[in-house]
Amino acid sequence: MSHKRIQNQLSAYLDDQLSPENRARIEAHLNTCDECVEMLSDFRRNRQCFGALKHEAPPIADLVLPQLSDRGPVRRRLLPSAEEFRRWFFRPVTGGTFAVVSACLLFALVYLNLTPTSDDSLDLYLSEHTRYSVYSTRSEDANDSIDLNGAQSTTNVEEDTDFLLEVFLGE
Amino acid sequence: MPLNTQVADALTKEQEKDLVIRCQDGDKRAMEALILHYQHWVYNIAYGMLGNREDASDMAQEVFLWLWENIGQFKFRSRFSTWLYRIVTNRCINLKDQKKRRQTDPTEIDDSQPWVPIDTETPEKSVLRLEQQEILQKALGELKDDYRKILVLREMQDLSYEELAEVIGCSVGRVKSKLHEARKVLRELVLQFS
Repeated sequence: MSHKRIQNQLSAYLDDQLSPENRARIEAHLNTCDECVEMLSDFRRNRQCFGALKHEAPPIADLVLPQLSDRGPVRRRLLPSAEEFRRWFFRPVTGGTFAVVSACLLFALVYLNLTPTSDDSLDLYLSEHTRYSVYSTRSEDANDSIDLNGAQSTTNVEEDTDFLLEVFLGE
Repeated sequence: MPLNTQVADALTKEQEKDLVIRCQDGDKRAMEALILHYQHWVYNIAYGMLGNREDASDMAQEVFLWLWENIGQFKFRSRFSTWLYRIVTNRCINLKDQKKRRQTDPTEIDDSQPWVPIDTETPEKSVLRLEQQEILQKALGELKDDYRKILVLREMQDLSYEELAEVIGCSVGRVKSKLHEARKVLRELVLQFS
């Protein structure tokens, strides 16, 4: 392990957060590197100073308790506040998920052509119109010789359209 | 051992949860127990973040008063202590920002009262320690808020890496690297002020 990598692990070493193998490697390095020994020793000294900063708190409870309002705390809410929602929405996970889903939808709409085209709509309209017209014709003329069942099962959209035109033109 | 530390040690996780629920229902006695439990920690975090006893005391009071009004917002998704640490550190950072905007010196060192060291020591050692603490306070005043926060929580409050990750809102790996960066920058500043 390089000197730089060892140095980057000195903090974790100080906090006893390393595996026994890594710890042994660092201890071996410390036997030969004065710079790292000095750094570790400074970290230790600063930690001790921090520890000494801790001291007795003033009687906070005595100061706070008389000021507590009788109204009591705000009850637990079932729904999040606008601020909570805003914070939730703008979290990296939520925002990221939203962005990815939006990008996928956009991709699907633009490149996979999922929206019905105008031609598809026209075909659908014509076929539905044809079926409707055929049924209308049958109800008007019960003796009509057209085999509707056969027409439904065998004719395609183009034939239906031709038939519709024939009916429309009275031929 | 100080009284508030004894109270803190005596409180289990379940008792803490029970106290929080009772507080949410408006029980002042439960709030009193919570304050006794956390006052020492909250005050010392505020002190580490603000570097001034008076500000730290005001901040601790403000936090507990806010807590009483807003404890209903706590939804038990994390440990109560984690939530509280986050509130204290964020409010301290906000206060420092406000002070900066008002063009006052946020790194002011409080030397109006003598330090009360936890263990007894000789006068020479005590003077040396005071000097070191002054240097540390100066260096802390120059640190970025993020670094100061992680150092105060780790070195003063002895939070584990997992707890730090929860309070700061990042991964344990990031805590490890951030803590190392913070210690390195602090070391450089301390050497500079020595």
